[in-house]
Amino acid sequence: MGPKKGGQQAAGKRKGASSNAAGNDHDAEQDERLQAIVLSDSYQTRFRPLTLEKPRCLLSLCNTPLIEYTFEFLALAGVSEVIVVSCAHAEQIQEYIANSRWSSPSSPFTIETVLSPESMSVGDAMRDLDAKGLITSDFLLVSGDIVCNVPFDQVLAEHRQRRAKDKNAIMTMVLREASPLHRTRARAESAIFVLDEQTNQCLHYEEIKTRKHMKKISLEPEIFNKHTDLAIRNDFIDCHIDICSPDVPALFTENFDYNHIRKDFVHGILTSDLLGKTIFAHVVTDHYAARVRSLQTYDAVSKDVISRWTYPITPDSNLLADQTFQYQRGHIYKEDDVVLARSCRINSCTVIGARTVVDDGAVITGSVIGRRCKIGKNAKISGAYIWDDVTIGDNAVVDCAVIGDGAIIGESSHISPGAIISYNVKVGKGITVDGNKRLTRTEGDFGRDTDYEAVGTDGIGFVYEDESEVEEDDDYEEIVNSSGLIYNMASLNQSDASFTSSGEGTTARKARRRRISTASNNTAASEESDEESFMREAQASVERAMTEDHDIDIAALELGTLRMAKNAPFHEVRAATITALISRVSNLINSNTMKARQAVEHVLNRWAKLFRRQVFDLADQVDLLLLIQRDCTRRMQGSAILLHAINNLYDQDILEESAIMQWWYKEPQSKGDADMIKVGELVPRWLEWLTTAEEESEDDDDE
Amino acid sequence: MSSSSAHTGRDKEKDLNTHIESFLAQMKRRQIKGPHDVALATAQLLLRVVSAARWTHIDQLITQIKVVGKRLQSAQPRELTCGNIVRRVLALIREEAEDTDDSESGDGASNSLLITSMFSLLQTDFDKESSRESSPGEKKDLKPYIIEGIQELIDELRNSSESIAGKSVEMIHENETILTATPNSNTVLKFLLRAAQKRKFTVLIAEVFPNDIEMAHRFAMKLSEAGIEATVITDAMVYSIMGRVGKVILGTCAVLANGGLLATAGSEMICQCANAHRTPVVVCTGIYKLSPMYPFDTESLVEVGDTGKVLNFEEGNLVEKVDVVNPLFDYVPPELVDIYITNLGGFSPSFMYRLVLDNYRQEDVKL
Repeated sequence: MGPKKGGQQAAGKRKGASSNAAGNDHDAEQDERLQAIVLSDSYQTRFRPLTLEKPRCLLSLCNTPLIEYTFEFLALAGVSEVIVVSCAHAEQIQEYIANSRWSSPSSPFTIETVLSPESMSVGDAMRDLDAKGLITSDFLLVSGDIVCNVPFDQVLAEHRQRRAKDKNAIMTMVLREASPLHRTRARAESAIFVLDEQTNQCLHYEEIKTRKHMKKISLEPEIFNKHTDLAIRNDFIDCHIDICSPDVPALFTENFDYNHIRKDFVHGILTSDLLGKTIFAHVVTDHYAARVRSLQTYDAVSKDVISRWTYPITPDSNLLADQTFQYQRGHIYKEDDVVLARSCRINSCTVIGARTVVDDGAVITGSVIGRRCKIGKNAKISGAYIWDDVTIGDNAVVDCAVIGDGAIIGESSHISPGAIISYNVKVGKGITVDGNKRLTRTEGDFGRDTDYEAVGTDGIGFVYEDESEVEEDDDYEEIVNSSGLIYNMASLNQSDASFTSSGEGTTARKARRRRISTASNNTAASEESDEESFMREAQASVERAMTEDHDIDIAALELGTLRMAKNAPFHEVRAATITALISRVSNLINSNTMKARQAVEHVLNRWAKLFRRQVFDLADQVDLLLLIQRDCTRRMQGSAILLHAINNLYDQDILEESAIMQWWYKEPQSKGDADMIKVGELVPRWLEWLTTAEEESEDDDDE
Repeated sequence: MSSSSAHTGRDKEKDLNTHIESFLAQMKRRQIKGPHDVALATAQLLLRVVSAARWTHIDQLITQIKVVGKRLQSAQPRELTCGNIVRRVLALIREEAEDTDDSESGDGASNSLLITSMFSLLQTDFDKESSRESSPGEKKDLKPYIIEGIQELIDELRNSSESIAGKSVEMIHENETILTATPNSNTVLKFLLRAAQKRKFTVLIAEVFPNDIEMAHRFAMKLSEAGIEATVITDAMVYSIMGRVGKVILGTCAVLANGGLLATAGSEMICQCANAHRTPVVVCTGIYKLSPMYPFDTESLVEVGDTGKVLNFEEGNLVEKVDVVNPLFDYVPPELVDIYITNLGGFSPSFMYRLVLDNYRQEDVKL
């Protein structure tokens, strides 16, 4: 039923009123089923702390979960089969889809969710899909956070035409033309496309790094020889809607260092002489296409939806069955059962969900307000995104902020532009929350108590600090440089494009120790030797990196490549790295160049970053500790090395206190083995120091 | 009843619900749009509903249709034809039911009906239902008659523009200049093409920026292919050119009970110009577009469309600073319209209320 109807809809769509009943005529595309891959994970952390509890694609945009917009677009595009690839919060996404109208028989496409818990980037997801063999024909690759109403039949027809002519035209990128400083363009992520004016072939792709003040790009002279008319453009909204041939996932598998679809894949394919594949762009000049990839674009896309650029995907289309939005003059959308006090004022571009109560004298301008909210007397709300069940106290001021479900904003408090108040946080009376603050109640990786300074004595919640901030200070400048529509909102866009950072949420990490599921037909014996050779090669690789002083990224890439090639689990990668690092430390000590402490610091300060790509959760950390301990038993001054290594890794936030505690008190190995105990002789003192230091700092907090 | 047939009954219901759901989704996505397509799709869907429905009393069927109709209407409340068709079908069912009542209980029935309808002003639906329930249960199976009625309705929808076109020769004179501003109307196109078989005349087409420009150009192409002298003019020229125009012919999205109408944005301006020049305004419409609604709140009837058609989205600077609204329809008050040409003949706007009474039942106006 599903696929057939999809075809009919494709045939019937975008026709004038003059045409007869929809679905009467048969387009060519009806014969060909169109698959779509939806990557529900963004592999970024920009929406944290909001995405600690919910995946990005289920965040509400104008009171509708983001992924609904993506599905609407796919339904409009006449897709007949959708595969949702999920990683972080996979169970939430699965549950949502199972209960949504898309899994009902009336859905225009069949839908299937695929778990890919190990994937940490688009590249990983593609490799996983390739291994699972789900892709049979040309497919549409989108992320779960796009908003788009571009009629797709023409794009598809052009792509198919090109494919029929030339099998090497493997991909068509859909790009929306826009001015360079358009609000809907992501500030931190922009790129230069070099296109052939006549054929729209993409000849070169270069990501712009604002922080480096890029002034030039280099093009192959060959490009100028082959093509007469070139367009070098930096005015596209690139929302990563691509039509790909099945070659694309295969190419990802071949080049396992490709992670990012644009930066690595497109750039790599275009600069590679060997592959001979071509990529085309389809420039869209009307209709709407955008992607919610940062808070700044969240703000912009919300505004676009409200001002009906995305028609017919607007709030009053009531995408969800239980919605009852109605449109009123001035882009005001109200659901049924909204209670408005006589003296409150609702200004233009506002969305108000059902059963929300707005009290006397409140003023709401250009904001989105969820369901069952309470807006107190004389509260002022402008440009804010308030989700469901929020209570805003009397006389409170909320200015361009995001307020999550169930949050409570106390009387007379002031939320400055750019602030994020996550789920169920309570901000006390008369508190001012600064624009750069993100308040949350979800602990994430660290258990924390209420920060009374931030939320007031009657509040609940604490300030969220992004872990990735530490590891990527060089992005900070970029943040400062990117001036946004709302400056602070824009400044929250941590450009986190590097694939090192984890997926959104902790659930992803737990499962990640499973082997990457690429098919492996090795016999047990050969696997054994594979493991050995992996250990040897990986150690050699790390040692070489240290002696030749490689860049840490290059070293990590080399390790990653080896791991993929040998299909090795992370445990072995860790073991190899540890052995290499500690042998280096012990060499330094034995040659009397440095003392134990110095040597450990010398090596680990620089190279411990490798573990960021090898250690993901608590179990991994404990495993790492055991490996260090085991390795130290073989070394001179092993106990000193162990102590300093733990201390150093703890300082670098690679090890958490809880992991260390677990390792020391719970792991059976640390008790049985005499060597192991001996090497750990210095640890108890350090642990003592750790606990007392902790207590002291807690005491400080209390004061 | 055997269990297997009960099972298929449930399957049928499920299947029906699937059809309704996908109809709703397509309405929301505007994959079905325009009064004609919506009317046809609604009628076909209701045909399915009726053929799948089982009832012991006709009121049960009416409630079922009302429930479905309400759902359909709420998918796109501004597409009035959907509600019109639901009401037409309801009226049809009621008529069939009354016919059988009449034949069974003789002359007394119509009398009692009159009385109940008087009483029903103060009665709740529940009372009415129970009072009806007590009346002798029906013996005749109405289903085939109702289905036949809906089939006729579908035929009417299919043929309405043809029968309207049949009246074109009477309306258009030789060498007349016609102005039209609704290039999206198939009815008007057929009307003009039919007239061209007998008459020679000129058509001016206002291009109605921003929503229908391409359509206007295609419209002109089709006319000129048929040998009509067709000229596309900008909207700004309408007033200045009105002096030379013999007749304004408009299509419409919906006709309201007061004789006013909803048509492509820009229509009101053209009608006002025509009024100033005392140029007659002729509106071509199928009777299915006639809605029993009164325009108490015209704003709630006007659909607001894609902003991107007015202002290009590329203009980043403007997009941030300007509020743009793109209404798709205009409400044209009845005093600006001279005559409606329908598939039932020509009517003056003041007569529309009468047609509403003929086609719909008062109790169905609110779904």
